[in-house]
Amino acid sequence: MKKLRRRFRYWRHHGERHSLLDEEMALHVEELAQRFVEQGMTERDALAAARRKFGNMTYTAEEARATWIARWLSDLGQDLRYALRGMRKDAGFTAFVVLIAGLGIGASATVYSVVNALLLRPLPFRDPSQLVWIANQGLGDAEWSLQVNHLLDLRAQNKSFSDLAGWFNYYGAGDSKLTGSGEPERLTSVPVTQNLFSLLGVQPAAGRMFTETECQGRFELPPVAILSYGFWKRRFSSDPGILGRKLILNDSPVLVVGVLPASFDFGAVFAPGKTIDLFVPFPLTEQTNRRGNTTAVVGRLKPGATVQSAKAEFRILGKQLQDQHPERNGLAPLLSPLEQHVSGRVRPALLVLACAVGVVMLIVCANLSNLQLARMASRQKEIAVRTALGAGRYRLLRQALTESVVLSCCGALLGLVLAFAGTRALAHLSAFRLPLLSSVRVDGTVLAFTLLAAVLTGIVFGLLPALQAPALGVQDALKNDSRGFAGNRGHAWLRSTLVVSEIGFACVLLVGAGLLIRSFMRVLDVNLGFQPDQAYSIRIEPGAQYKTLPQRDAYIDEVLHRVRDARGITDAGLADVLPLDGDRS
Amino acid sequence: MGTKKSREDLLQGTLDMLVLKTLTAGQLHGYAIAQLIQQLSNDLLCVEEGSLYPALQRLELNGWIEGNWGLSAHNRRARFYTLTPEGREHLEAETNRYRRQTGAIARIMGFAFE
Repeated sequence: MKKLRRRFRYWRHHGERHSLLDEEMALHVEELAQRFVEQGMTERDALAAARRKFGNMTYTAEEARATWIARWLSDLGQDLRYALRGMRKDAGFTAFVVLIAGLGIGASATVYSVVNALLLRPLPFRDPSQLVWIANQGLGDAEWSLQVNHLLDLRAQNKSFSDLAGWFNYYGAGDSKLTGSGEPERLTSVPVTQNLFSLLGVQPAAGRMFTETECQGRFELPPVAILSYGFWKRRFSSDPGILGRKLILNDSPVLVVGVLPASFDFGAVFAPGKTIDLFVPFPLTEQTNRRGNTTAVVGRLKPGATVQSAKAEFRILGKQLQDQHPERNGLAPLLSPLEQHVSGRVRPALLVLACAVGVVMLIVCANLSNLQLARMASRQKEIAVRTALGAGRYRLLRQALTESVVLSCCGALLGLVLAFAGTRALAHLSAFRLPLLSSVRVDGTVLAFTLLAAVLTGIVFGLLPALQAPALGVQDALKNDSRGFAGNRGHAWLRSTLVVSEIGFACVLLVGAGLLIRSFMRVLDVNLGFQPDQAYSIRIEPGAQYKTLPQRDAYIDEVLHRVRDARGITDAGLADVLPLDGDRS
Repeated sequence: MGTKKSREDLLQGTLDMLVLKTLTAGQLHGYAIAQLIQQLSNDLLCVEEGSLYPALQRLELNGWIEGNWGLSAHNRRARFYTLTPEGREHLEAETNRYRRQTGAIARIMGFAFE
């Protein structure tokens, strides 16, 4: 304990201790010289003899210091100082390396944070591995939803799941109309079964969930609603007084009973690209059953049950139910882990992206390797002097690697800044219909990844030049001027290999990206059968005050008439569904 | 590698003990310690400077000696070492251990078991 304290005190004043030791040893040499003079030597000879007798002072000092600080640690400090000094001296080189490494590491960290959010991090629910997506097999590989009565029967009869829950899958973006106080607004609401939130393990941020009786009413007339956190914050500026207030939704009053937590983003997980504003009860009644295959279903496995066993059970159960109820729609349950359902489709694309970034990283390393090699060539004399002074090959290698790792770590700092900007930009891109995109951010794992990438990059790009550097004999290096080194055959070979591999990697990337862009262009070139440019759409709806059909027709005719008369509009038409939207075909 | 290390250890152990012993007489600086050991051994033992300074640092780290600045005989600033109470205790333990060890070795070498 005391020893540690003494050690600590030494570390704090190590600079001072350093010079004290030197002074102490210098005194020793002087005293020795003094004695030699007394024995009859000239002063000059005496000093030289004393120095010879004392031996390598630097080495002794290093040995003495090693008592206090582990040798590798002090060596590391020395290397770091030296590397930083070298970087300052070679500012142009440093700027280039930091820029290149920063771009590469920034790109990989950004892609890694996407991969992390979508593939590696578990879904933001309780025990997400126990959640199973249950669909109904449609024609071919199509995944359809389930009929309400099938859901009720499956829920009652199955033995694999502790519960099944679902939501009405045919809600439309902007289907709900908010009027009353404030600016009227179109909202997206999802009708959900009473138990959905508890099944997912989501607790309300304020208020409560739906009760059983609230989920028994008429489908079109929800008595209550739960707000999403984003909507609550945006429209009501997070006012807790919203609980118990009534909103006018589709011309009828709806009581706000709860607010969901910020961590729950239904749209991000189940409906990428959509923002869900509120949730209303989805009654599992004959009325909703008549609507057909409308229910998306999620189940939570009982402890011990697996997706495999549940699949087997549901195959039999589905067949039984279909035979018993010929009046219902067909039922062929398709089970998959929820995680797979959510991110399964984007997995190959993300893996391709990750590989592309890996190749970019390799190009970066090859590039940096080449730069470092050139720099080593200009420093061969220095290296030769070090070798002559007794630096071992291992020590030189370590110092060179420290230098390259310091460089790549500086690059990683720049890369982190880029990654922060990149993830922010990505998280706010709603045009991409990628699940969980809004949760892409730089977190602890991404930081760890960046550090690892930095160290690896440093080692990879520094290793070749470092191994190559002392290969030339000391004498040759000291004799020749630096041009001799660059012309060295081994180096020429190494550098051309690096360049060739760089070009090879770049070709791979270029061809891949070219193919991708080509297919993208062809998607854009598909003949839609209509010309979408210069066309705009707006959603209208006769209000509740237009009661009879002729009244509504008159309203719509009037709207069309006025729109056609507006300036800059050549024509206007009406449809109950837009092309390529909804499945009414 | 292994043999080299063990030999160093043996030397270290004795050198530490010798340095501590010289300091029982009073405070001394590095050069004086080396001189005293050489004189007391009738020039048989010559302390190498390369191992003296690491040894002094080691002893200080262990808290057996303490370095303070003072003036040398030639009026130069020098670092004088004194023995601490812990150092005195350690020296005693080491002396006993050494006595036992050399006694045993001497008995074997002198064929004491005749």
